[in-house]
Amino acid sequence: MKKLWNAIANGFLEIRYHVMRSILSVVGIILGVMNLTAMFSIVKGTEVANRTFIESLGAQDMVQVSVDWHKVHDLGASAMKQYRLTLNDMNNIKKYASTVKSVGVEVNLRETLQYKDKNKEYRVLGVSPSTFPMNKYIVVNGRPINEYDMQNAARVCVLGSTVAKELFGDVDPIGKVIKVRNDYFQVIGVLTEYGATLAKGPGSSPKKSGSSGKNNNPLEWKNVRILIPVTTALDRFIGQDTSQNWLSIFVQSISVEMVPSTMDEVMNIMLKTHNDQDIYTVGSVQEWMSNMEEFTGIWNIVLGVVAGISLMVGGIGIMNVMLASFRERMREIGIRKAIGASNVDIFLLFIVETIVICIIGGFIGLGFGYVVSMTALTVMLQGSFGAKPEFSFDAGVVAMAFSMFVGMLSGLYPAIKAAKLPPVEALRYE
Amino acid sequence: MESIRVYNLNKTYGQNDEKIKVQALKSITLTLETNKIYAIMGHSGSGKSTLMHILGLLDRPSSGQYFLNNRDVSKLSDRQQAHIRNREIGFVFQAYNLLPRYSVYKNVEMPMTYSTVSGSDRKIRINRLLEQVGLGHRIHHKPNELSGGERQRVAIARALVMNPTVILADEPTGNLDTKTEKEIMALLTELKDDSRTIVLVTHEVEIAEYADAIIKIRDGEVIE
Repeated sequence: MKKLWNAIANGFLEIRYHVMRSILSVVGIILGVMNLTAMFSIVKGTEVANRTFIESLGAQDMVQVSVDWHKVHDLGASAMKQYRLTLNDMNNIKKYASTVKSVGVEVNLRETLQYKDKNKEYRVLGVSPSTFPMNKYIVVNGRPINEYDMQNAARVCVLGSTVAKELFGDVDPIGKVIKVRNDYFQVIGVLTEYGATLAKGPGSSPKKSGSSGKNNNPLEWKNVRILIPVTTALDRFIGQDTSQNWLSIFVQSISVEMVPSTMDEVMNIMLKTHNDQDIYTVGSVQEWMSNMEEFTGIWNIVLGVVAGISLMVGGIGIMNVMLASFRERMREIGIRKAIGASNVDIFLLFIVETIVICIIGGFIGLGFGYVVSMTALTVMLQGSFGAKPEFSFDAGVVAMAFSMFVGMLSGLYPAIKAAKLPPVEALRYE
Repeated sequence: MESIRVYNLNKTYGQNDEKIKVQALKSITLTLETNKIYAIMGHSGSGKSTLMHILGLLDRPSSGQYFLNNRDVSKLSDRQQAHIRNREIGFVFQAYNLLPRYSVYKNVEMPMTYSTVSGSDRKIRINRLLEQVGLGHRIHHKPNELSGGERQRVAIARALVMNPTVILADEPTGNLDTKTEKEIMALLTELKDDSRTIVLVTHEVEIAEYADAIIKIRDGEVIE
């Protein structure tokens, strides 16, 4: 124990005596640890950003029903029409499922909107009233689409905030009539401005709130769509046209925990109501999230390997420096051996110095890694639903342990060489 | 009292190749006693340094036996030999061989750091020794701030700090002027006592005059 303490003290003395050499030797370790911590933190931050994005869709308890078009394609052209999802499917799920809170539909179109002399193409969604709470479409002006609109295939619409701004400017759009393809629709509501709090938040500089600020808003897509009753969309724009994108049905489970049972139940209902034709797939946001986690895991491995390689290179750098130090200090080794240092003492002298250098380098790297990852994450997460940049301390610990390991490994060869040096040879060295 | 006995000691370099084989020491048999100063004399290349290295356990003989204080030490492990160098042998080199980055005090303390001597004992002993060699006022200086004679005094203090039974001095005054040489030799001569053997390695007759016995070596053999 005393010997070890002695060796550590000597190590520090050596490092202080060769400040520049020690700094140069640990540059590799500093960069490696910085890489490792920064990369892990950034990957983790991205994951957090993605998760908050998905959570912002209110989608944790969501299950989506869709048609497996590859299977349908194999059955021939007529099957396309036969197996597309219909409002009946939505009603069946509503009727038979016990773990379902609500069922919504969406059908996706692109149409040209016209008001007075302005016209522009927008994404038009046919939706059911239940879609509003499920997909967090919040109406701040007017009212959402209701059951009455749905049953009567009413020609009414709810505008996204950007659509309302672009078509109407400062005029209140409620009650106005716009032209969609060849039909006239009355505006009954306007959606809230998604991401507005973030775009105007204190975190963003005035420079960024310009044209690029719009692109930075990850929720802008919700502002540039218009919503009409799904029945109206089917009657007016889709009809019997089988080439069009068809309905998608999403189901909200009664709880996040029940999502797997809801998926089974919905799948069973789909099979029962379609002559046991295995043509539908049921997916959940939870599944996507676990896929994403898997993806994150892969990234962690890839980046870990990259950072590991840079640490190894750093280790080789240290080994070189320690070998040079060994040659420079051969006489010292001889003197120490002459006055009674054993091979173990000399080994400790060298290995401890290497490890001390590596630990110091590791801490410096950790500091740099912290700065780099916090900077990168702050930029990345700007406007991402208030997600806070999070430093991965696990990665810091792993990186430190790894840099110590590399230090030990790279110090091993010079230390063994020094320990085994016969005292006469060491003393003879000038 | 007998302290060192070597019997039929041989040292051969390049044993595996007949062409470069050099026999540095040939059948050396010696007995050295305590309370005496010995001078090993010979020209360079005579084998006197090799003999000193073997006596100091810095090198191993090719064959033969070496008893230090009645213990056969030639076959001990590296670790055991390091232990004996630490406890029983003190070296004084021509080139002083102090560690340049450490103070006088630290240099003298160095052998103790490879032993179990406790901190308070160390301090007393180091200070007393530095007083003894006349360097009480230089404790915190670095070796490069000292003169050659002063450096050699530090080396002598270091050699004595573990109270060894054998002092091996290899050309201890080789780098010093005549006046300093006399001072250092006086200091070394003082160290002679009942439990200690002092061995000087030199090629200078003036130095050998301080010795009680002279061992002359030529071509690896003791001739006198």
